[in-house]
Amino acid sequence: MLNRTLSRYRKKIKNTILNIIFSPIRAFRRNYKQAKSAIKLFVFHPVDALRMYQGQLKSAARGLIFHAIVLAFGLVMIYPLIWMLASSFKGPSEIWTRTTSLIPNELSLDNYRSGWKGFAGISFSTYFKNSLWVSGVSTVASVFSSAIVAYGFARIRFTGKKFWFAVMLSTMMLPAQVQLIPQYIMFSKLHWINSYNPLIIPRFFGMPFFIFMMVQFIRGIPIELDEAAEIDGCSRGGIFFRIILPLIKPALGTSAIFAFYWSWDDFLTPLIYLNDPRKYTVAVALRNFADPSSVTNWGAVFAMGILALVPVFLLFILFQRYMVEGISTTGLKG
Amino acid sequence: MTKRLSRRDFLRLSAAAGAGTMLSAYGSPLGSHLAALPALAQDKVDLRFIWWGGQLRADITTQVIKLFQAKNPNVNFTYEFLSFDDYWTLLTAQAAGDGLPDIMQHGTTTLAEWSKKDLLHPLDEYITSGVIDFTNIPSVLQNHGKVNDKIYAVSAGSNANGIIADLDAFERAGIDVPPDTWTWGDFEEVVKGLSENLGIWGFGSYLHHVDLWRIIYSGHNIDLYAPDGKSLNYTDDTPIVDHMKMILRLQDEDFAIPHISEESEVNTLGPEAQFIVKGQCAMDYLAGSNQLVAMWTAAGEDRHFKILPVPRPEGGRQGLAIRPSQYEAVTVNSANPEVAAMFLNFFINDVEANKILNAERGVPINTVVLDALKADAAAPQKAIYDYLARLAEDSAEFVFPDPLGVEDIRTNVYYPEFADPVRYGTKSPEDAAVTLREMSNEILAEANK
Amino acid sequence: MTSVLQKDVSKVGLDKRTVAQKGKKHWRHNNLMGYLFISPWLIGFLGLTLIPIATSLALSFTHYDILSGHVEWTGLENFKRMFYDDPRYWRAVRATFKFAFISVPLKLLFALLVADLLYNARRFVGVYRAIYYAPSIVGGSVAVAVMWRQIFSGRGLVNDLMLEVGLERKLWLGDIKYAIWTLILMAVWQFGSPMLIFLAGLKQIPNEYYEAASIDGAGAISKFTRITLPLLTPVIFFNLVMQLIFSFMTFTQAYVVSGGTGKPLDTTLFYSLYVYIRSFGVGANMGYGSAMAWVMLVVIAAFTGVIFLSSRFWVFYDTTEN
Repeated sequence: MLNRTLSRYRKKIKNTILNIIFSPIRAFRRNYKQAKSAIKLFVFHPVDALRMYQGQLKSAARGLIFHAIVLAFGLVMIYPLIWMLASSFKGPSEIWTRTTSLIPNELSLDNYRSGWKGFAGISFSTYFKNSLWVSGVSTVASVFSSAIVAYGFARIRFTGKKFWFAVMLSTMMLPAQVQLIPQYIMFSKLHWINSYNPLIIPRFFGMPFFIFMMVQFIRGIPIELDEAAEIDGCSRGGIFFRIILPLIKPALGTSAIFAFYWSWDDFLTPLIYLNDPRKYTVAVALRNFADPSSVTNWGAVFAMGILALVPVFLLFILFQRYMVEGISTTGLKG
Repeated sequence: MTKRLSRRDFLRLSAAAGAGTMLSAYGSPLGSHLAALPALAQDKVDLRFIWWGGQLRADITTQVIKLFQAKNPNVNFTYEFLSFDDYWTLLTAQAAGDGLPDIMQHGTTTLAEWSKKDLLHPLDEYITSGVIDFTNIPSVLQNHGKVNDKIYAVSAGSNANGIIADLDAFERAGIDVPPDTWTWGDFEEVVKGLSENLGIWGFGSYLHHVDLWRIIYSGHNIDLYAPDGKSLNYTDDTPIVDHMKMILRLQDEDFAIPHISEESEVNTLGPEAQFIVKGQCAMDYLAGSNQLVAMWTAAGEDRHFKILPVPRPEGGRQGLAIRPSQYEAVTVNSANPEVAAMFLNFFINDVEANKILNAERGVPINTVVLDALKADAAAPQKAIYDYLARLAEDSAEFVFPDPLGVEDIRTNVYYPEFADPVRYGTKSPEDAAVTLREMSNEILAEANK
Repeated sequence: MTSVLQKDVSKVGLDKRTVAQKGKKHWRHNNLMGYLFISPWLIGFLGLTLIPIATSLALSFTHYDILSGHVEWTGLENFKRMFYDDPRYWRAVRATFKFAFISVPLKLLFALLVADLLYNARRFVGVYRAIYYAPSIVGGSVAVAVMWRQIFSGRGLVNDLMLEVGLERKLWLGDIKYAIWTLILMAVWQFGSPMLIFLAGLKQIPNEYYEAASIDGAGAISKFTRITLPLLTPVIFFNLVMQLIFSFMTFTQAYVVSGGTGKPLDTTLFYSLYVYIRSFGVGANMGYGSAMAWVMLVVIAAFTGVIFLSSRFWVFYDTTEN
């Protein structure tokens, strides 16, 4: 069972990666060909062509324009990332001398090799393991608990609801910098220092951002659905699990992507609470690479920076697809 | 996650163990401490050490830690290293939660504050008992860690501000490398000459560096801070105003130094990005002589550099002082301050350890160690030793560490209210200097009440 | 933990049906259910968040020296100093407002347009979404800061392009007029998170609405303005509130790009960066930092409140709730 699931995911990931590489090219080529043949006909037999190909011409041209614009603008968007990727293959002198070139003189994996070694005998495999554990647990915990809370805020009328909602929102408006010290003192009294507790346990209590987001999504679901389910004898819990959760799958997917990324990218919390370098997460380790007072191995910084993006990116792709395939409101309404 | 014993419990346990060892140590005759503490030999002792710095420092420091552990197998070390800003965020939180490491690094602007607020463990008892051996350390350098008549830290190495000169550029420009006694007038001529002859900037970044403020007044025989630390020691703004005017001349009229907006691009970047490393200027500012190692490494071994002292005023004296690059200190949260002190002793006095550290934190303060290192020093280290030796013969003396409030003045007054607006031309040097003086006096008075 | 909760919920749910007729009991039951559902957050808030928040509020009326642990009640002193005696404070306010009010609308506009463009089930939208979302996952790491500085540096890509089209080279990062724009651009560049939320919102709009509109002969634009926009308002509302809060709190980007100094001339000294400098610098007074943070909270809350009050005029929910 597990093996089957695993191999299915492996295949999915493989297909996704292949798709990423080839599909834009294919799309562009296909539309281009269509457009070209249509244009040819248009030039030699304008009247016939107009009559015959009106529909196709229009859609092909539209497709071509769509892909051209989206791709061109997309390239601008990811140029900095491509730059980083290219730099991760460059030698130490090349990074700063041929800064604007995107093609390294030689494709060297040295940066990856030296970066992976990490610092003082602790390699990046340790950091990745730590990060995956912390971010994995945090994601599951925060998405699920946030959904429960969101349902309460969105669908149940109770005394003090508006007050608590306002309080929850305002907790997001206070800069973390001033909460840090009181929090540190509190966590140190709980004996949480040098453990993953400060990184993970708070996530079990929901995160205001996700709660607010899911509230908005639940409020977008017609209340008749709940009422119908209630008449059918569904309890509150039943409504939540059978009606609401499936319907807010897009929001759950989005939350999962964000929850994982935020946890993965956070360096301040692990920096403050973890005292043992063997417990460091990727974000902390990456930050330790660079210090302005000494020579930095930038190639290694970029190489590990790129590797650090991989899990986040994979998670995005998985959930993004899942989100698209999610059941739409209409499906249940009928 | 599986760890049953929290660090806190552990500290408490080891504190109890530490107290036991202390008692037995005091019971034993003095002098037996230095080799290895017999009472400690059986006990497992934990030490935590945190410092700021980059990869090179991390690598050599961990090597020294391993060397220490090889000689003292009962000591179990954990360590962390961070960039400068992260370091202070973390240590501040740990101070608030009584979770400081055993050994921490300090700068001249922070030591006084941390000692006065009882966060550091005085080292005098260990110096008296010989755990920390000060025999081969010049008394001036010993006192660099002194606050309120107690020694709270040992200097990890000596440093001095200076000017890094690209000797190849001087040769190409056909300009003589100036003598150590050069004045700001000479400086202006040299910078203009280099710039004209070479088509690059004569001087790079940070000609308005905050340390120069103190050095310039010191050149006029005035230490910047009053002895009680409650105010600045001057009322005449002329020296600093003249300095800023010279900068503006070089920047806006002669184009011999980069415009501040150009400079601002590299100020917080590493050595790789510095103008002198990239060959875009012939001289550059060196906030600490130990930075020459990083600069030279980034620039490449085939280049030739020399450190020059900061110029002096016309008719003034040498305003520079030799100072600690950074300190190592033992904190009050240490359960085993004596073992921590042992490590400090090893750090400053052990020849083998210092061969690994290789003056990366500044010139070793132990003269015997220094002599041993000088014998086979590489070019950057040689240049640093040479510079500090020259300076030792003719230099001013500052009171270290700085009075309280200095860091506040540096971050929130000197750059944002004085140097930057003047260089961007949004304030006149005269007005800005008045603001600088008044705001600084206010902060010093408040902080040193 | 969750399974226990689930059991409780269904048990109480059973009780509910027997008492549903009696209004008072119904109300009491709803209260119980409501608090049961929000209990994860409420427990976390009371147990973990409330203490640090309340502490920081109390500290804002004091002079708190973290290092010595010395706290001294100073009343409104911190607030007075902030408003009348601290030139950097007002520069931080100005930089933050400028950043927030320019970057948020731009970011949301881009996010909405791109989301709409990439929503329709064309074959490769997944890939395009990945491309447009990718910048948002690089965050504020050191590598990104270096990359960003490189692109806008004196001899970087942007200046190469400027020269190419016959314009003069500019010092984007060091110029007091332009520096903040590089940060605004960075914020807009990372429009992935609101885009994703818009996409999830678009997903929730029932297809029948569009089908019905097509039958009525509505064009793409009128479909967008008459169906998409109104039905998306809850999500637009959410994104607006959140992005406003986030932009006021922007820290990492400013920290890494300016090296934590707010240079040049404090034009990128964002509010939270200044709070950090004042709270953590050597000799800092955490009380002053806390006071600044609470002023910020009040300001953001006021803005959020206005948006909430205005929402009844432009946000449409499919429910009769509230």
